[in-house]
Order: sequence, then structure tokens, then C-alpha cells
Amino acid sequence: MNRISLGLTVSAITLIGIIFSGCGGGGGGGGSSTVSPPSGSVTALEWDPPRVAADSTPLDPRRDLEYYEFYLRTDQNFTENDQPVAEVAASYDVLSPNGKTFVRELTKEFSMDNLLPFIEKGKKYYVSIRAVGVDGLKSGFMVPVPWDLS
Amino acid sequence: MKARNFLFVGIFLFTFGPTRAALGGTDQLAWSAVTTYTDGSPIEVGQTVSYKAYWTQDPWLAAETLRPLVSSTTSTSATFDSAAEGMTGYQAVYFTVKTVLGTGTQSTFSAAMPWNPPAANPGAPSAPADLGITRVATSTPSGTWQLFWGPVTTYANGSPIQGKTVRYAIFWTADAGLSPASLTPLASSTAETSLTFDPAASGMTGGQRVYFMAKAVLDMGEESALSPSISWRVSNSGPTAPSNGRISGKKKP
Repeated sequence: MNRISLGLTVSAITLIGIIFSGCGGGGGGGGSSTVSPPSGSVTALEWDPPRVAADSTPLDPRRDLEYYEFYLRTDQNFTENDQPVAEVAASYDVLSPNGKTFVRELTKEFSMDNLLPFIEKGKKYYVSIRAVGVDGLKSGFMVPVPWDLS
Repeated sequence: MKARNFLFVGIFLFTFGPTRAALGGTDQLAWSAVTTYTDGSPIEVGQTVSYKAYWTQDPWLAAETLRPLVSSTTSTSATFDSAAEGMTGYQAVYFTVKTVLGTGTQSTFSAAMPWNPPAANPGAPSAPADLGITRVATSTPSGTWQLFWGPVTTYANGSPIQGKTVRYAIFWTADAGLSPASLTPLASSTAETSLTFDPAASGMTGGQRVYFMAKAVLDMGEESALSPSISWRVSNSGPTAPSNGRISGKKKP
């Protein structure tokens, strides 16, 4: 009898986290070899993923959405001619408590730190996002959210 | 009160018998006996413990994709023919088992155990990969869509295909279990790496969830395994916009 015991292997899965990195905190230098952990707070955009299509048929965001696009303007008049400044995957995989399998989670927030390279300090911006399906079809713009940096 | 879930120690897969080549291979899935509840207390003497085994191509074990391997057995193993079950060579499948007590109480599913079925034909080409779908026109009510995939350039064993034409057969099904009997050709085979189709003309209905798969075929008829499937909701409309947008302050982790 040829017995083959298989260990658990999971196909390569990209783990896309919501990274709250960047500014804030700091300090800790002073010749010490240790680095202080980040501190303070971070601003995040949160949203509810779509669960229906524009034709009112049900949509499974875990399977049917590919990514979100992020848009910035100094007014609320987002148009099809606007170009996204960032993208994030619509879902990501996290390791189950048993450490052997993955569970797919929906992306529902995004650190605004990631958009800082695209803004001028002291201005008021509006941010909006669009959902993009696995077939490339895009949603309309989410109701713009004010982001006051003044 | 007893917990309703049972502890699984693990499952193993092993082959047996010398007749794999002649008969296409017989394999056996085995798992450890369940004797305790999740709280560690023993299952009562006289209580019937049986098992249900399933397989799927979905590593997340989505319920609608699970296909029964054994509907109910008190044994801790199940013998199966991977080809007869509809598994295809080199295309990963995942096994899971649940425990059922005589009272009807069931455990959760065990952790997925991956396995690559052997290729039935050693001269078979690799299965197509990287399937995707995109809309190319909106002239018909259901739109015109293009399915695309990566070219197959090697045999399943990794050696390059030389001097042979690779053609592709494309299939679709509405069966989440991807049973071979449910597969419908989307079109006759093509040497291209894309295919344009009208969902309605192909028999799909709006809002239906369908799955696409591709197979590579060589000159002499050697066929690859089916590609991993892609799931698509038949619709000419994109998602609605995300809602309830708000900005919040959060403490850094």
C-alpha cells in the first residue's frame, strides 16, 4: 500500500491588509537600538460594499468584485473623466484561527494616509470610490465624503 | 449540555492497489475516528458515529460547491475513483469530512485537505489558466462578452509542447459543483486564446451565476484537465456604488 500523507498547503494567496502606516508617532531614536511602535490615530475612509447590481440582481461582493478605485476632488462633481488616484482589492484572505485555512474578508476601509501624496495641505477635499467587478464593469461614484485638511 | 461540534484529529489520503494505471487509479481518503466532543468529554457508549465526506475545487469550502464523496459511513475511510468523481488531473481539489451522531447532531466541517489528482493521460497538455472575462460591446441586451485565458505551452509534466497545435475547448455551467455532466460547450474549439459570446444566445439568463472552464486539446486528441473555474454573474450591469461612506479616526494598531 502506497500511503501518502499530505500536509496542508494553500495556494499562494496574496494577503492584502489595510495598512495604517505612515505619519504620526515617531520618536524613540536617541541612540537606542529599539524603535518605538506607531502611535496616535489614523484617518480611514469606511464604506459598505455593494450587494446588488445596477439591474437590481443580487451580487456577491466576495466573488463578484475585483477592486475599488479612489478619487479625489476639491468639489463634489466627480465625472467619468476623473482618474483614480489609488486602488485596493475588494477582498483579502485572512488565516483562520486553526491556522490551516483562509477566510475571505471584504475590504471596507482604507487609510487616508495613502492619499496624502495627492493632496495639498490646507485644502478641503472630497473623496469618492467606485466598485469594479471581476468583469471590469464599474459602479457609479459613492456619495462624496468631505475630507477637510485645512 | 454537550457541545454540538466534534474534534477532528486529521484526515489523510492514501492510494492502494497496483491497478492505478489500468483502471485509472483508485484512491482512499482516511480520517481519524471521532471519539470526543469538542470539550474533550467522550462520546457516549452506544452512540452511533458516522461520517460524511465531500470534495470541492473551492479552497474555502463554500457550501454550494461541496460534492459528496460518501453520503454516510461508519468507516473512517472512503475509496474513490478520482476520474469517475469528476476530478481532473493536476487540478487541486479539497476534501472535508463532518461527523454525524445517531441523534442527528452534526459537527462542523474539518479543515480542507488539498490534493492534486493524478493525470489520467501522461501525454496531456497543461490545463489553461488565468481565465478572465470582459465586456466588448453593449449592442445586445445581454451584451457581448469576451472570455480569455493564458496560452498553454507545456505538457502537464512541464516539458514544452513543440510542433503541435494547441486548441481550446471552453465550457460553462450553472452547477456550482461543476459536475462534468453539466458542462456545456460555449463554442467549438479554437486555437485563439479568447472567445467572444452573447450570454443570452448561449443559453444563460440574466442574474444567473455561471462558471467557465477551459480545456487544452492537442492534435492527436490529448486533452488537458479542466482549468480552474471562474465565477460570473450574468449581467450587463455593473455593481451599484458603495454606500454609507464616512471618515473615521482610528488608533494605530
